[in-house]
Parts: sequence; structure tokens; C-alpha cells
Amino acid sequence: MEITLRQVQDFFQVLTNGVAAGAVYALVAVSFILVYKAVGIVNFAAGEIVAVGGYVGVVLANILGLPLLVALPVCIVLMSFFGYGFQFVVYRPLKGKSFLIIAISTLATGIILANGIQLIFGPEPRRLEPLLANPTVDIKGVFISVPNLIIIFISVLTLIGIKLLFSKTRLGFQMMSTAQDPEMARLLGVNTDKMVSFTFMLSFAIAGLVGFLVAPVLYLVPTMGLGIALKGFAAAIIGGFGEVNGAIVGGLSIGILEILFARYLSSSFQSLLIFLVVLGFLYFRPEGIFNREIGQKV
Amino acid sequence: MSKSASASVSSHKETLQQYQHGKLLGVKSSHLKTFRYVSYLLFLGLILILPSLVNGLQLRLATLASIWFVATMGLQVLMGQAGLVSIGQAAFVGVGAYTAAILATKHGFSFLLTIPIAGLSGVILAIIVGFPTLKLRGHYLAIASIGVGQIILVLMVNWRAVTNGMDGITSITRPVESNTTYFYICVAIGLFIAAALYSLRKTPVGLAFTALRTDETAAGAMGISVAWHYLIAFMISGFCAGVAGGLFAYNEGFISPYGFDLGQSIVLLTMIIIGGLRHISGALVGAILLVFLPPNLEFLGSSYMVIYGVAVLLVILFAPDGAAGAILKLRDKFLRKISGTSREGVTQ
Repeated sequence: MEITLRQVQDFFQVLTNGVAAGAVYALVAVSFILVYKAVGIVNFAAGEIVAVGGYVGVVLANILGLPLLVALPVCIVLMSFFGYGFQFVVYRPLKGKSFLIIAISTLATGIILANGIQLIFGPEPRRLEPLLANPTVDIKGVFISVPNLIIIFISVLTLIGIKLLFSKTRLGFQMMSTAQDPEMARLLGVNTDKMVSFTFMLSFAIAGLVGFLVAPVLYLVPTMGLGIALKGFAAAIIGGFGEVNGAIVGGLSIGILEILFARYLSSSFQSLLIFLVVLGFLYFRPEGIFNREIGQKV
Repeated sequence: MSKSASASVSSHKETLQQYQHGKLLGVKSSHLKTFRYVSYLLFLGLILILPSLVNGLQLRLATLASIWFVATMGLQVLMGQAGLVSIGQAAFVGVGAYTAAILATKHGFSFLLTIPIAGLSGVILAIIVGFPTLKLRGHYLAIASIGVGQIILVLMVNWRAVTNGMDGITSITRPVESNTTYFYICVAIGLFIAAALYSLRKTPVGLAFTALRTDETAAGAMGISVAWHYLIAFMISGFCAGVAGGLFAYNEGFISPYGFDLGQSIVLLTMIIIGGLRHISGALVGAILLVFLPPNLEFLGSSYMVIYGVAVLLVILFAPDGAAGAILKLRDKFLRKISGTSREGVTQ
């Protein structure tokens, strides 16, 4: 079989789309892993929070008419306030409660958010204008969509920022020590309550960013959270649940794998593939791709 | 199981018996017994005369409530007794429904065979999903259950050779003509499973569920096999869902992927939370509430689920025993009044 230039170009085009999708999944995974590491809560509303981010963007840019470059930072700040408030509903009042009660509370919050959005905005899809006007760039015959390039660019910046925060700054060290051993951190003078608040704010800011970034590509619908959250969870599981590096690798692999599968094999069984991969990981390598020990806090 | 562990289990059993005999509630056990028998008889009487009291639509809804009662009981065992979370119960119902429908329409199996096989299909799915995830921490099952819900949905829609895609499977004929008889069949199966699950609570398996829910680490240290008992709970939950699916397929006469999605899983979850996680009767109360309530929520359009979310959040935060818990509290208050006792006086 001969491979034509067109096919190669097509492959790279598909691949960039996969990397963009993967970057989004990685960010989603990182956003809820931060909360999971800090307070041990799996946030089942993670996807709906991304949706809220997108709709906040719609309100700012489409309804209030702010320019996109202003709307984006405003959206992120608003979402971090939302994260600050969120912890007073499903974290602080639930301290010490069982996993079941906490899981159901976050799930219920997700249902309220998704249906609340539908109540306010209706079920029809909304979209944001892309940040740059021209829709594609042409690199040696490979047409790459600009919104996807922006997604990749901003995601890489964000992930580097998160890495730097946790490896270089005092704030990052304090957040990490709070996540690892809150008692000890408190004894050493870290304001752990404040650090938990910061973690929620950072997590929601990332989710808001994701919502804003995908809005020009995916269209926003009230029920979009589920699909995004599932891919985020899958990325986290592949990455060993709780590892930022693992989540990035997991997210990218899922994004690339699903888009190649959809392009070359079958688009209707695309989501099946991801879950089979995840089930495979749970069977054979539950500690994730980097083989990290998973222990259990007593 | 070690000697001390079994001693601890038997002492737990005594506590449970005392509780059931009313001692911990501060009511006389004879009063409680009489109350139980009277309420059981009243309930059975109500079931018997219900079809002659209500119109056709209401009878259909009552049949549906008894079917969801079966599915929700499974969630009660899984969530209320073992303390696990599953957000994919509708997928198990769907597998049961498709199994029953395919066996009945394509292979001519009779109702008496298809219903148990439908239950079995739920058990098999539970093993496939539970085996890898239940060795891990609780949130893995919750996440995997959402994923399985999506897998099953994709298969229902796209595996056309077996499921007939979005067109679904039609002309599933009920074993009995009359709506009334089918209602009685569904209720009888529901009550039979409820009785089985009631007696399970007093067996070592049922007690192990409680131990695991209360403190997984301590239960494991006592010699209870954690993963195995979680798997049993998940299999029971899958069985109930499968049977409910089979009954649902016959009841509707037509099934399609619509109705076994995440939304339906959340409806079932809402049933058990609002009905009351801690009580098997919570499944009944929840199923009745959520089958008869939605027609009254139509003013909210397609967003009526927002009410479910708010209700679930409020119940789980402020009244985790749900509606059944509230009813039982009223019962105890009433019995204490007629016994002339106080709760404190008897427990001391």
C-alpha cells in the first residue's frame, strides 16, 4: 500500500486535534486532582464546573460584550471565587463524613449546576468567538485549526505554571505540605485553611480556563460536563490518580488515542475504546502508567 | 474468620436483634410486633385492592414503581449497607432488559426463565466491573460505574446486530394479558426480594456489609474479606437491577437505549437517597415518590432534575435517613406514647 502525501498531511492534522483534546483532558484531570490531593475529595461535579466556566465566558463576551482578551481573565477570576464558595457547600460542612456522603453531595451539585444552566440558558448550543480571527493556519499543507493551537499553547503555559508553582514558590510548598500532612503543616505554621481555599480556587480557575478554551471548538451545551469529566477521570486513572505528571500523560494519550481511533477505525465505538483502556488499567496496572504505589490513608 | 472476629460479629448480631425487638428504641417489643403485623397486613390489603381503586394510568405508574422498587433495593444494599457508590444502576437495568427482551423475542424463552437470566446478566456485569475496581478505593467504583453506563449505552445504540440500535426491540409480549395481574406479579417479585434481603441483613454477610460501611480498615483487620464482600454487595445490586430490567421490558413491550442512560441512573440514585439509604423500605418509599412526583414538576420543563439535585443535597446533608427514616421515627414516637416509655428510660 502506498502512502500519499495527502494521507500524511491528514494524519498530522488529526494528530494536532488529538493533542488539543488531550491537553484539555489533562487540564481537567489536573484541576480535580489538585482538590483530591489537598482534601481527599473526588469532585464528581468537575465536568459541570468546566461547563459553568464556558457559560460565564458566554455571559461576559457575548452578552456583556467584553473583548475576549478581557473576558478570559475575568472569567478565570470569577471561577476562582466560585471555587472559594464551593468549598463551603461540599467540603467544610462535610469534614469527617463518609466517602458516600461526600461523593453524593458533589454529584448532586453537578446535577444542580447542569440543570441550572439549562434552566437559565436553555438546551440549545452556545459558542464563543475564537480568540484569533483566521480559522486555520497552513503548515506545509497541514491545516491546523487556530483555536486548537491556542488550546495547546495556553495549556502548556498553564501546566508549566502549575509545575513552577509547586516546585519553586513558597505558596506551592505550603499547599503541597497541606495536602500531604495537614496536621504537621499546621504545626509548622502553615495556614492550612487558607491553603485549602487556594487549592479550590486554583482548581476552579483551571476548570474555568478549560471551559473558555473549548467554547469556540466544542459548542457549549448544558450536559457537556459529563463527557469532559469522564475523559478527565480516565486521564487521572491512567496517570495513577493523584499525580499531576501522570494526569498530563494520561490526558494526552486519551486525546490522541480516541481521535486516531475515530478517524481510522470507528467513530461510533470511540468512547468504548477509552473505557476499555481504563478498565484494562484498573485490571492490570491500577497504580497508573508510572507505577506509583497507591496506599490508603487510615 | 478468627475467633474474636466471630465473637464480635455475634455480639453485633445481639445488638441488631435488640434493636429489632425495640429495646433500643424505647418501645415495648410486643407493641412493635403488633404494629409490624398490622402495618404489613394493611400494606398487603392496600396492594390487593389498589387496582380496583385507581385508573389505568395510575395502575401503570404503580407497576412502574414496583419495578423501580426492585432496582432501588439493589442500590440500598450497595450504598446503604456496604457504603459504596454506583452511578450506573440504569446500565444494569438496561442489560437485564435487553437480555430478557432478546431471549423472549428471538429465542422464545418463557417469562419464568428470562427474569432470572436477566438478573444473572446483571450479576455478570457486576463481576466484570467490580472485580478490578473493588480491590481499589471507593471512588474507583463510582467512576467506573459512570464509565460502564456510557459503554452499555454505546453498545445499545451501535451494536445493531444484537440490539437493533435506536429502533430498539419491539413486541415483547407479557406473560399475562391483564394489567392487574402483571402488577401483582411485579409486586410479588419485589416483596420476595425484599424478604430475602431482610433476612440477609442478619447473616454474616449482611453484618459484614455494616462493618465495612462503618470502618473498612477495622473490618479488614478483623478478618472480613473486604474486596469479596464488596463484590457480593455489587452482585446483589446487579441482580436486582437485572430483574427490574426484565420486568420493565415486559411491562413496556418495547425497549430502546433511551431510558437506560445516566439520567435514569441518577433518578434511581435519587430514589434511594430521598427514600432513605439505611432502610430497605426506603427503596419502596423513594420509588413511589419519584414515580408519582415528576408529572407535578412539569412546570420546570426539561430542567426538573434540578429539583432532584437540590433534594438529594438537602437530604444527604441534613436527613441522611431519608423519608423512610422519618416515617420510622414517627412510628417510634407513636409506640413510645402508647407504651408510656421514654427512649432514655429503656436504653439505660
